[in-house]
Amino acid sequence: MLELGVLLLEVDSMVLDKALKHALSLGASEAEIYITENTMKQFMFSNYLKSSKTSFSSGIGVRVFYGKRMGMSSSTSLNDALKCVEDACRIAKASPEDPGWSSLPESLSRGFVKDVYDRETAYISYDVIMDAIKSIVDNVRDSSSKTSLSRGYIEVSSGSVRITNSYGGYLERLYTYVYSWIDIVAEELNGKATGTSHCETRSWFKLDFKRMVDDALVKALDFINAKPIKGGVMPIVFDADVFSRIIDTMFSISLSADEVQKGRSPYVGKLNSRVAMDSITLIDDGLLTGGFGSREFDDDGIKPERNILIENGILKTFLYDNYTAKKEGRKSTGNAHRSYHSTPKPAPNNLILKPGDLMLEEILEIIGNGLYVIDTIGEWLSSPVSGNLNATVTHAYLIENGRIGKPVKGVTVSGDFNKMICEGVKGIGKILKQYRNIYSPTIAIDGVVVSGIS
Amino acid sequence: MDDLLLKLINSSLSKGASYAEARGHVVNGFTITVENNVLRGVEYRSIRGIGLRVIVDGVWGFSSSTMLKNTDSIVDHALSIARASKSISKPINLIDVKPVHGYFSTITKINPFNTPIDEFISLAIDVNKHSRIDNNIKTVITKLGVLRDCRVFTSSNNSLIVNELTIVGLGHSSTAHGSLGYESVWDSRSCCMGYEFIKGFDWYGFVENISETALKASNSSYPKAGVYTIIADPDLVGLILHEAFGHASEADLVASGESVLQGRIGEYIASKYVTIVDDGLIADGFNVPVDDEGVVKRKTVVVDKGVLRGFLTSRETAAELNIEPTGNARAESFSQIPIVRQTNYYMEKGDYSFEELIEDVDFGLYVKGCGAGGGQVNVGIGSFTFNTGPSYIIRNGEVSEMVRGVILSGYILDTLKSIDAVGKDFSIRTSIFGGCGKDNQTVKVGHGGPHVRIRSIVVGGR
Repeated sequence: MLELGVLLLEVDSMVLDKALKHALSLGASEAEIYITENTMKQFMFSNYLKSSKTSFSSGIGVRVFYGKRMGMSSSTSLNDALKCVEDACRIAKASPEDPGWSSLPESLSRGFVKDVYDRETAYISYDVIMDAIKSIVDNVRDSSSKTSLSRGYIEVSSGSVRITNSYGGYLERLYTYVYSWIDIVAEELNGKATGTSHCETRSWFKLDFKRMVDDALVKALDFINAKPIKGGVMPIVFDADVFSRIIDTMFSISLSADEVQKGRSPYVGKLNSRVAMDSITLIDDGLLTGGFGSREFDDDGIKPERNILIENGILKTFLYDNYTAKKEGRKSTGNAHRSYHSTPKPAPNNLILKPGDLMLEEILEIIGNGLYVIDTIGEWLSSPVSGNLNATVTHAYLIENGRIGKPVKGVTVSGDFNKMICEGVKGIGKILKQYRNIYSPTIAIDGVVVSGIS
Repeated sequence: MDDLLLKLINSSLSKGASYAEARGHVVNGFTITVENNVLRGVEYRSIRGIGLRVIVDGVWGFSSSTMLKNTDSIVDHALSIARASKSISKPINLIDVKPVHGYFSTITKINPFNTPIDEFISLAIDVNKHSRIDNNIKTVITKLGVLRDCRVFTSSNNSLIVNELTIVGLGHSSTAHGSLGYESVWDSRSCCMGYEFIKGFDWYGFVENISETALKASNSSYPKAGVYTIIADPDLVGLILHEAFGHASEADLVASGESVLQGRIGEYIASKYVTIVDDGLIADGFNVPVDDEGVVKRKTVVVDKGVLRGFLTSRETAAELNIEPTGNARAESFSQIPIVRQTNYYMEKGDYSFEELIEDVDFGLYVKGCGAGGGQVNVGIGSFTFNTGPSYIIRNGEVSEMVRGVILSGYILDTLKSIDAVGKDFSIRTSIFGGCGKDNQTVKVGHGGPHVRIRSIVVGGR
């Protein structure tokens, strides 16, 4: 069997040490080396395979500091380590000071997290992947004469991240990711609908293709004859999948300390004050078992934590990396994110909206009459700064007397998101769904504006 | 590099491939960003890698790597992915092309990589400072970019091509606050040349203009929605052609039935004044002498005096549609599979002066591309919506006051038929910043044309 895998890259710690020393010998006060390697297998298909490829890539990013002046350079080749150091030093010397800079982490730290690397996933064979694609195609074809697979995608990646800096210390971690989505089209004589579904895990063996196909099939088949409804202000039940994307848009950037320090976040000056109802608790957990955003250390080389950002409606903390934390004289929350050719910025690891205790039926019962939204487009165009939530509903069901009613599409939902979570939350489900590194339960919110046919 | 690529090809053939092509790619470059007088960063990158594409038993396989030592593994992966794909793939046919041996290079007078980085940094900072012409200019961002992209192509049909490209450019955005809210305007100038382009250009005047436009726009109102006669400037003509028409003329979308142009060769799809071409080598554009399948990029006439004449093709789509290979298969980098892309897409000039275009417009709009904020197109039905840049009302044949927020929408085939005059001026633009995205790949392109009069188009306003 072919070794399809990770750790092709031989990193000689002597070389890194030499590069760091070289930076100091050129007059730098601090230096850091960040190295990545990645193996990515990508497959696009419809009823047949459209393209398949494997890419191996590596990258080295060098940051050097002359006091508060920073220079950075990167390359895809580790053999360029010394050249990167020299380029970075040249750039640092030509750059003005950043008054906000204090120092790189003086000590590197790592945490323990389960199920972020699966060796069998890293070394999975092409035949196993092709069999999975075949089963998806067959599954869609056999399920209904009305449906066909219009597009599908599978990506399996594995690799490593390594960090070392001139204060000493060296960290190394391995990862695997699996990501897949499909689009299904259902067609009848007088109607057409699409259904999309996605799945992301850290192990090939946790992918549930059957569930993915079933989800997309329901969305496609149930909505062939979906129609818009009359607009109005009404309660909305946002499916967990939809609400996780809304959370991503509304919180991921605005809770970053970098945005807060630059005065761009709507949460400036709101620490320890109420930003949501009691029922809302938002957590960032970098050590979640098998979490899509879990890792042993962040991109500064600092151990991630489990941080409660919003506790029972009260804003408790922001997301920090080394730079933003030191600016405020506090500890980093372990949220640094970067690629090998860019500088770190704080972002969520796994952002989790704490689930409640309701089943879907109980939530629908509470709402009585309203709209149950299961898919939207354009929600990412909502503005976290103004709090204006906007989404075009592609898939929803009318809620009538606490039961699921007829399918609805082609309406928009909008409203003031801050008001929604401060006043409108009517119930929170107990089951979490995931959109990449964002986890949310289903949630019912009152007072949402629905624009439909007049 | 050549030896390494030939080794990959020979090894692929000996292990059972019927065709193999290997691409070597070296990119060096940096981008300087200055925001409100402060250097935000210098991103210095060096990228090297190889991509290998093979056909085994009539099926594609592809593998790429930045680790150039690992040639055996690259070959093994490309072949094994092809073999594993066989049971669920369609058989591949490629149109025959002649082998090409060639060396292409951008002509540079001053190598930007031999110029001290301090010179670029201080220019970017000075230009950024200079753009603050008024207290109502609130945010100014300047970007300066330098890129060298060197590609080597070899294939088992004996092609060996080296293509070295250098592009430099500067982009700037000014955000102004006026009586009617905020307005941002971004514009850039780039050229496939060396440092001499940066040195020879009046960047101070350029950013001053951007700030003035932003200021003026922040005090301008929106036009009334309705149907207008418009004069579109070359920037806007290029943007509309590229997005709303160019993509529809890409043969992969034609072959899969996703394009509004499918089955229309020989039909009148535009007015007789309209000739549209895709040209790999044109002054001020992005240089694409040869594509990433080793096919020479010629001037392709897509529309000739209103009649649809051809599509942009790769070797595979040319075979599928039984038309000429046009050299339009491009890949963002070594790690991607070439797909059908535009190069420099533009409208040929006509014979109207600007005065002649505008003189019989009693009431209309002079719509500009500079500062345009994107749009949405549906290639399948040819519909489009574009947010354009700050524009002007035309009254009694003269350019009058500025308006902003002009949104154009329509169906491209109706719009092209509504063109009743084409200017005799001509300009093409390319950009080192960004590019055109398709299937998760971004490639640099050029677009433009002359000023054009569109007799009737829907304008959304407020």
